[in-house]
Amino acid sequence: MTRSQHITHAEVTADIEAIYNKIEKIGGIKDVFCVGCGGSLANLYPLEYLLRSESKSIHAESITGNEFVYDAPERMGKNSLVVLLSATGGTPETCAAAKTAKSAGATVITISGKADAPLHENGDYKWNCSVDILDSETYDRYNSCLVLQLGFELLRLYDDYSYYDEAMNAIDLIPQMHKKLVRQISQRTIPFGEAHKADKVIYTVASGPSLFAGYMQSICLFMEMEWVNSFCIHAGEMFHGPFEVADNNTPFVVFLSNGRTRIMDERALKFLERYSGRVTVIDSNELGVSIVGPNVEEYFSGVLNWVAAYAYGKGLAVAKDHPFGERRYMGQIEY
Amino acid sequence: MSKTVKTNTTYKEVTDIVNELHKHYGAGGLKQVYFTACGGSLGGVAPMHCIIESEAKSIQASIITANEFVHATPKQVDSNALVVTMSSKGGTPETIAAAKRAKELGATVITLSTNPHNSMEAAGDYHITYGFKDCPYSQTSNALIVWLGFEILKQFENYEHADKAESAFDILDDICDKAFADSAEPARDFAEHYKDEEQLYVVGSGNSSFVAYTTCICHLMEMEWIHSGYINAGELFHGPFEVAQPNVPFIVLMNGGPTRKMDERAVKFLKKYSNKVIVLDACEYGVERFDPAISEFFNSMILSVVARQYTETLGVAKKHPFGYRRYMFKVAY
Repeated sequence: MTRSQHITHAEVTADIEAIYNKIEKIGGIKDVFCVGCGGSLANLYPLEYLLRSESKSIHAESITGNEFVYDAPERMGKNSLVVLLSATGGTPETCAAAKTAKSAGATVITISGKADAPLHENGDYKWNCSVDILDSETYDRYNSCLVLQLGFELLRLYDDYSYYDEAMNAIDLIPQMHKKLVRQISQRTIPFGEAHKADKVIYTVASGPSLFAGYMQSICLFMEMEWVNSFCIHAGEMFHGPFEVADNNTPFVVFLSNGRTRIMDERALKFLERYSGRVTVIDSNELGVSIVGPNVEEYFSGVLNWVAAYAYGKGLAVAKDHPFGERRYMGQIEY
Repeated sequence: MSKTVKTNTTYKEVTDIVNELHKHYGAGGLKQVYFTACGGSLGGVAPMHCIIESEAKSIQASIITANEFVHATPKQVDSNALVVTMSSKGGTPETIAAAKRAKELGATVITLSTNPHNSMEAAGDYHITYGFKDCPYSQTSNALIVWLGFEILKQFENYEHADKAESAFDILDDICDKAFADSAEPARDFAEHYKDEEQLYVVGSGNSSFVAYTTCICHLMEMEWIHSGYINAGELFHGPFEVAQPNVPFIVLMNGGPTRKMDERAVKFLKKYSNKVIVLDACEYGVERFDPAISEFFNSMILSVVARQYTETLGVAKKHPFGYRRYMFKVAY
């Protein structure tokens, strides 16, 4: 069934239980494949990262839409759950990937900001999500927050996960955390834009739960919307090549997450503060994620950092007088 | 003390390792293979990740940079997992730590490096010594690790194309030598035209995505101090392509095989909107001489030879040799 409103958390729970009951009879879910393109691929990453970190029984991986279509993994089939996201609902590669998944006998969840999205044609479960990053009231039903819940539901059913209640409580806290952080950074975004409006390149650096936020800020906000050269460097990879481009003129946005990977982020930050000096920090801890509790704060770090990353991008758009909607190619020409 | 004579691991010895693994895990006992290393060595283990991820019917595969593997270790790393790690000299601290972490959790660990005795070798269960320069291509890490990947599929899953994969190694040196020779002149031409660029993007997909990644982070950013970015050809149209313009250069790696359509689409678009598109096409360098059932998994071998020649020649033209560093091994970090 297609829902016109955003899916509720109770409906997510019910859908995952139904999927569990259906697939349990044929050996259970062995793989979760996260499939999308660009920002909509990245927004599924919180699910991959959570399952990779906490599940003993389910393996997860992300694949860009067209690679899934042309070269789907051999093992994708009836024991697979394929989660596809297209914010607009019509991304051709993701729609084709949904078809590939469906024909292979996988269970398919399609997620979109539009109820009548073409993507939903091949979905067994069709989820309507919020795509409004800056709306506090609905951010708990924003795509990447919904797939986090999806992950926690799987962990409860398959892995007897100890911190499910803490995680559900954290999801309830999302709107209030969001509201606070938007207020907290409101005076920082335009100065960021002013300081970077003449830059030809801005790198992002991230790891662990914030990797997707760094990737999206790079490819969607800087490259796509602001036409600024960029690349997202994994904080752990920084010292194995990329750091050699650091000089006192090259700007970096460094994401700090709470949890196990923070040590990598801090190491990258320390180096860049010394050798670049043009470093902007987006820190989930400073943005208040720790109120959700020590066992799950790591997994919520990325979805909070993403809000800040987006707001800084907007600040750049204002300072450059280059609105987000301006495109050279997307939707303008055939490709 | 006598100097140890270095001998590279042979295919027979790699097969022997897999024989032992097969006995160790038993039927259905090997559930996951993890690939973990840093920078260029992460690119080094990637060709095997690609084989397992794409072709295995039951074995799952993940590739993770070493320090993330250490600090945010996947929950499935246990006695049912195999961990493959690489460090060229065998001394990368994060990679050694990853091998140790994997061992603590009960996984079996294969390490690869260019010398037989080092901290990496000591941290793992099996060690593969590979050649880097001045050896046939068939003795490099790429060749040995791809052999290892196919051998695992053969022994654990009775891989239907195992014979074809094995035969590919008979013509590998010939194809790679020829690719090296044939790319020398276009590489010089590229270097002359692009030696003053401050920014060079690298686009790749499928089996060559990590060649593109390594070209970007090691050969351009690290060795030549050129701003760069790696773009997956499938992701190009979902953001990155908006930076394409006249005078913005892109190196595009093209594979033969199932993902070629993605690469062709990227080339077609970029050539229309940028006048600086450098195409390195595995088909032009002989990938189609391999059997079509397995040729896909040899793209990265050919393109790594060609791409390295291009960037190393760029370094010569820039008078900025590959060995220059500002920070690596020079400052504390």
